[in-house]
Amino acid sequence: MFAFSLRLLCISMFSLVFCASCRKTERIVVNERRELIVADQGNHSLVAVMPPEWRQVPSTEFRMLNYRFGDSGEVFVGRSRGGLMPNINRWLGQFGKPGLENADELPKVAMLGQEGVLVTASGDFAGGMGRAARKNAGLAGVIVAIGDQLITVKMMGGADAVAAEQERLIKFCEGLRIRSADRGADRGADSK
Amino acid sequence: MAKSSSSIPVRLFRFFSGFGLAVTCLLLLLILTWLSTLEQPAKGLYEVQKRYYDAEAWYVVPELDWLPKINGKPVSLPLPGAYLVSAVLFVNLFLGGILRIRKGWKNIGVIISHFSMISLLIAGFVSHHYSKEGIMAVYQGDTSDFAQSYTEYTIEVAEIVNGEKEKPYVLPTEHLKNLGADQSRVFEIPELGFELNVSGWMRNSARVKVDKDDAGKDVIEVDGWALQWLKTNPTEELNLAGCHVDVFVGGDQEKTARLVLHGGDPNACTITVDGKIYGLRLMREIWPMPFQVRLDESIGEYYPGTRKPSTFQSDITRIADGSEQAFRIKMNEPMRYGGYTLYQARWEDSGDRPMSGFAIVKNPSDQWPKYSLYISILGLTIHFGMKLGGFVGKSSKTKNKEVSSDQATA
Amino acid sequence: MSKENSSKRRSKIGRWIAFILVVLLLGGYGLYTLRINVSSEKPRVIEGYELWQDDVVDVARDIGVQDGGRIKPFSTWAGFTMLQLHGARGMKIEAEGEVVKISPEEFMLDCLFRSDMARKLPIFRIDNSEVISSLATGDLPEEVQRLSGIDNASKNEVIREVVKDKGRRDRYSYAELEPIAPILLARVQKIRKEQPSKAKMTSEQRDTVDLGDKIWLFSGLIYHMDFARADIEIQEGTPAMDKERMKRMSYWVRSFPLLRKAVLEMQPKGEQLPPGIMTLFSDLERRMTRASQDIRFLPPYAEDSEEWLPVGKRIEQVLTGKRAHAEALISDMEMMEDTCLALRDEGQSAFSKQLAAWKKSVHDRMEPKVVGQLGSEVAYGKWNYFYRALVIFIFAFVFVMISWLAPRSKGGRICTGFAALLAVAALGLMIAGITHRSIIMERSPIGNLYDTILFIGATGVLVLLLVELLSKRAVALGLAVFMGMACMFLARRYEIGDANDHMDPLVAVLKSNFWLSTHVVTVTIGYMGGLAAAGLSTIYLFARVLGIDEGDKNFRRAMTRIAYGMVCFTLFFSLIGTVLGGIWANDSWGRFWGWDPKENGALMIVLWCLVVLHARMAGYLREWGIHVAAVFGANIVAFSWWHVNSLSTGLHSYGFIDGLGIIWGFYGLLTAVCLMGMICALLERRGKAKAKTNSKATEN
Repeated sequence: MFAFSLRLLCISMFSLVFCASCRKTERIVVNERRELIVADQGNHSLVAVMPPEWRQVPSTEFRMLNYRFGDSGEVFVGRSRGGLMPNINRWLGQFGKPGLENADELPKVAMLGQEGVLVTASGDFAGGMGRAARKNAGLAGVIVAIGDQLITVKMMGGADAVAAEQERLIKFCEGLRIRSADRGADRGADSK
Repeated sequence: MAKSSSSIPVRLFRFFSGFGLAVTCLLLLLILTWLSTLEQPAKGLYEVQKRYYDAEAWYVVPELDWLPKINGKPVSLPLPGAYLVSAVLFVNLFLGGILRIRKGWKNIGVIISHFSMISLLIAGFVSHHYSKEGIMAVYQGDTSDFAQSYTEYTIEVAEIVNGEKEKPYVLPTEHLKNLGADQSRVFEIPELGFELNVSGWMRNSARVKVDKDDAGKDVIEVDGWALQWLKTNPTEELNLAGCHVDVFVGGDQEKTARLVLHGGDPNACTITVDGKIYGLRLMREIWPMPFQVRLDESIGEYYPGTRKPSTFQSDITRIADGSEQAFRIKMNEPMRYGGYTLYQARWEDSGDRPMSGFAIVKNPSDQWPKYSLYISILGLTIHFGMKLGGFVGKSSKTKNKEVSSDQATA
Repeated sequence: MSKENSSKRRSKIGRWIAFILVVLLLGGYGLYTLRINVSSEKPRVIEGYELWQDDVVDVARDIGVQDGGRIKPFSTWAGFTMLQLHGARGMKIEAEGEVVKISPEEFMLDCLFRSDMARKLPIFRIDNSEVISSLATGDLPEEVQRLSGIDNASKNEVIREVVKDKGRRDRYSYAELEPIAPILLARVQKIRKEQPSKAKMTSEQRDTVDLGDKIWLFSGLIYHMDFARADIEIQEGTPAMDKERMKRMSYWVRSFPLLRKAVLEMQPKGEQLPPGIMTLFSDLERRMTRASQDIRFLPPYAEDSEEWLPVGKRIEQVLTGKRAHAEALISDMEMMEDTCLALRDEGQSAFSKQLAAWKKSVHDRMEPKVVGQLGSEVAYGKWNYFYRALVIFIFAFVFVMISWLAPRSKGGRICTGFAALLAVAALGLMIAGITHRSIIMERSPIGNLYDTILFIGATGVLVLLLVELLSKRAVALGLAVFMGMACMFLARRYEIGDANDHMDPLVAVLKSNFWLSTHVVTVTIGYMGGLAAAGLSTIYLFARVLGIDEGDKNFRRAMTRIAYGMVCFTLFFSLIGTVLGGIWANDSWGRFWGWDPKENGALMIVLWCLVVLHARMAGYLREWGIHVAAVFGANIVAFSWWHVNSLSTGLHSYGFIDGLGIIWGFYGLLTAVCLMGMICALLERRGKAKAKTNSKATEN
């Protein structure tokens, strides 16, 4: 009986190790989908319709929504404080442009149900906020006041690339909306 | 005397139903339990569970500092995994403890006890394979309808239409978590027309900003971001996974896009295929619930003058099929509904509103251990009660014998 | 010499060997414990120390204070605070020409009301003066230099002065350590920043941090009542209406709105504040901060609040505008000031009266039921059930030892009788103590590690006495006495080492009397069974090896049945307890089994018992084997009961301990017993085989 048990044990151990090393899967077909949930609406109230030419990249502390286009172009949506004119002049200052007294002359863009202003500049970017200085750079951005804070949509990149994307930027800003809480909950319930 | 020769099936039956196998299995389980306990402080529970107790862990090589070393390398002592040993024990219990055991009133207690242990093992098997658990975090006043896995990661791929997400495709977690850092795996999504090659899996990582020019040849940089390997935290919930994903469209040999995904990212990264936008996100697996939970009030109390929790409780409203029902969930008092059980697992009030964390478990064998316990109490009481009675009777007989022999001698 | 006489002689020698071994073991351990815990030095002379009168201590004893989340008597709070600081519940000093022992109540009264005396008491035991000398290394932070007036140049001199004339292991007073307190506390901060986890600190770092924590705790005590000492200095030039009242902080709390208004009116005019005012504000702020330490004497004023805020925090609330209960606070402050002044100006008799008024004021604001519990807890402390039980067990053990030397003699039987009576008496005390604790705590008897020691002791003694009733061989009785003595001793050592109040309320997840009474009780009984089985088997092994049993097969069979029965008992309770634990975990944490270390430990005990049972049924284990296995089982119980708590991991986070020293000793001892048994079994078997061969050869 002992010899038999020993033989059985050896065969089992060998089979074990053999089978353990055999299991390998390299290609998986995915068909499973899950139901939508409340959290799929995003972790903040902004709903943005991104143009297909852009790509969304990870957000950061200061960039609620963060996009890239082309090789080095970027668009990001953020919050700011300190008033409209200081922010406009800060952007202009990054390109060495003189500050403005008021925003009357700047083009207007409807964003989030308010009237925002479009700020553009091009030339040598002096750098700042983690970005290196750059020659022949471009800026296009929209700032709107919502309550006591500002929502900014800023596009940076090569001057030509920014100019080419400006129309898309304006369309993007016009498409930005704030999701209502009730709508979100209903959607979550409807999708089940 | 001639040696009796039995057939192979009989010998197999004797082997699998024998005491020898039972003692061996029990000893092995004891050793595995002991070693896994000693490994836990350094490796963490998740890692130890995976290596010792998972169904796929057919063998385990203990990793402990005090194990003997040869030439500086610890001796490799492979042991069978606990799942395998439990499976063999199950067979042994059934064959030996139920079928082969002598039937009679003397053994009725033992048979009942064996039956209770078999049912306990079955409950464990069902729980291991069919139970699911996750955590639902809700702030007071908010509503939630999902739980998230504590530890298992998945990649979700969802089309984004007009800024809103469609139902996502979910890559199976079991094919991601066993990916090594040097391995890759291809996930085909036929309905979308592209496939994803996932590689460079890191169990714990950080997302770091990298200049394109500064990135070395070993660093994969995408849009100024790369992954940095971090040492695995023994507490698995604190590990943030990371990986690289190459997208191949329509069977192309050249990749359409490359993404760097990190488990800590709150948003998806997107690709555009045939004019459609798809968001990809690496995240802890989401488990949608068939009901919503609205946290009406979240109460946490500490003993006065201390940070020792006295009570954590949540008043919730469960919303399902258009109807609402109020519940109170407290520590040790979960809510059971439709096969789901919600437990008060966490409570925090570091923000402007308190937050309750509910552990949600779906386990078909939730109450089975309780029934096993009742059966086990019955069996053990019968058996040991009979033994005790016999002992008491024998003791008094022996003592009477000794006393009378002393008297006779006197 | 006949075989019988030879056995008897061998048995006698064996008994004496066992007796000497036990004396050496217990005596050696006892001496070691005394050496590290009892100071051989002469009691320190404290000049000017006046002993507290009995009536003062009696009044103070049951004053309610809030600590650790519950309301407890002053004596309990004082006792555990003294344990934390001093490592003992008493301190011997020489005062008024005689050696006296200061009780915890007296110690705390000194700290609060006679801080000048408290500073002189030799409270802090430092086992290695390197802890102080090592403070000389490294530079002092600038802020510490500025506040303390000690710079890097003079630091070493200050440190040298402290350890001058001190032994490597010595006691220090706060007055002796005060000069280096800033340096020590700065070092503690640095250590904590580098290594937040105490378990990962080196032993020197841990000793430094422990000493720093004690200094911090003690300084919090002696400065706490500064707000009530009515010795606020009024500088020359400060307008003074009532100089005596102005020395009290309550006066300034009452006057603060007016004072604040006057200051605010002066500022816009650019008028300078009188110099005395800034010094006064500074003094008031310092006293308020000192009174904000975690000492809680006063019940809340608001009915819906349960927290007894420290006086300093209440003063802060009132001074920052929350004046809803200002009058009540001022009244309490005046009461406390009167108490301090009574002691300072009139003596202890007046102090006693004021203290009684303080107590009445506090107790009138508490629920009568809670006040009643204070008295009950004071009585619990006075009864000192477990210490008394320990003393009785020690006497009983002496009787047991004597009786085992000559068990069949008349003297032996009388000693056995006495031992049994004493054991029953001690058991009664243990049960009474555990019951009293449960009544005070309003919960099941076991809620933490300390409770398990008491419960294992009590149930072990009870079960073994019942076994003795059935077997009547004085073996189970001896083990019962030993187990009771060991558990009471262990409980004392643990309480002193841990220095935490184990009657404090339980965390939320444990608050279930049902599960505490079922799962925890059954698992603990399982631990007890494993230890009892090991004890019985140890006795069997020594009896057989040393020839004490005279080869008596009846004795051996009976002992084997008893030990085996105890293993079955252990299995019964451990298995049911473990499964109950899983069911509780399912209701608390959402999973029946999580491979938590504590769960694993309980499972290991169940598995070991099953191994023993099945190995016996299969014939793999016979007499020797069962006993060796039962002795080894105690290692598994020790692993499950104690060792897993030192791993500091897992969900059972309410019983973590530091250090494993004694557990390794336990493992070593029992493993040695197992090895002894195995070697003797092998030798006996070989001997039998040889004898068989020889007899065959002779036949042929």
